[in-house]
Amino acid sequence: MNRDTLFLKIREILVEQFDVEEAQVTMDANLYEELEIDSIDAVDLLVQLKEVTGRKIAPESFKDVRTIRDVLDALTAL
Amino acid sequence: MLWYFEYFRRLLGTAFSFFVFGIGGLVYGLIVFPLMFIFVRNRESRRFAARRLIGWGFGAFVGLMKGVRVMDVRIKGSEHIDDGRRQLIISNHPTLIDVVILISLFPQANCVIKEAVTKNPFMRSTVKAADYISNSEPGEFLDACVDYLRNGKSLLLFPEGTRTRKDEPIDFKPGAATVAARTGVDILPIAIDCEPPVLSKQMPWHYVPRVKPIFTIRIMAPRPVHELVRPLDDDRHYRQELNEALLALINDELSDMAFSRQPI
Repeated sequence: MNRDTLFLKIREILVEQFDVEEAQVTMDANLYEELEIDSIDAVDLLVQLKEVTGRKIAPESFKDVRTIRDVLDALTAL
Repeated sequence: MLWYFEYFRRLLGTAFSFFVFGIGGLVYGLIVFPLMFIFVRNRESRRFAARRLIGWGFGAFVGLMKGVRVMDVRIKGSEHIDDGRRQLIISNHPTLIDVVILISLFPQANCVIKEAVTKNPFMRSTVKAADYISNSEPGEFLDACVDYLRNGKSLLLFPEGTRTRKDEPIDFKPGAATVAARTGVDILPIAIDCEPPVLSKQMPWHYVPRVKPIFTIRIMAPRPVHELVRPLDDDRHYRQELNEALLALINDELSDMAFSRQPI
């Protein structure tokens, strides 16, 4: 799965489940500050992305994740 | 002159208390609990016995600190103490002693321990015998909390996740509200005030304030979750509302306590 489809998937989850406006979802949007995602949402998001990609992000590497670009980096770095 | 004497008396008392605490911790962690693993094979019995011993130890430590007059502890609302009750105990977390005082009051309550502590060779057997929850994996430890409340008794959580800085307003991480929303158990809110502040995050253990610190532990009446916030269809929205409600419960009580110690 490439970065573009992953981005679309993340946007879909954010919009449908976490009350985020589609236009707010950009590569550099800060999950916690701009999109108001809390740590429970972040874990939720991780679990769902794991189902989609079959890849598990280590919780330690997710601690440093701030933007959607970081999420993609963490997912594709594996 | 008198002030210096009083200061050194409390500094020595504090050092002595922590020394005794350390020795007690070593005896528990290196002798008592490893032996318990040999002689008490049943996990439930071991958990019960271990928590009882920890409760006694913590109670003795609080008694020691009161006895050598380095601090005072005032419990308000002790009629709400019921260790056997199934409930989620939540409290603010101003100092290092909070958990010691609360566990001495609710010894059978489960709690969440920092992963580093569960791996510390001196404390590992204590944490394992008492069967406390480790906060290793973010999603998993919340599931462990929910499971424990669903078939067990009580759980103590500090929703702030770490000690509060005295100069900042308290804020709750969403974990405790999530556990409350998913289990629907009763909430036992506790507000802790320590004046003057000691053993908070920005202070070393040997900091001794000019006057003896007084801990006030205000135990409020247990409240069913659904009474605090009416259940909503949207889980995410519900836990956020619940988080606000829990924070307001503690904050209102804290501002009452701060107000009541203002000189008139």
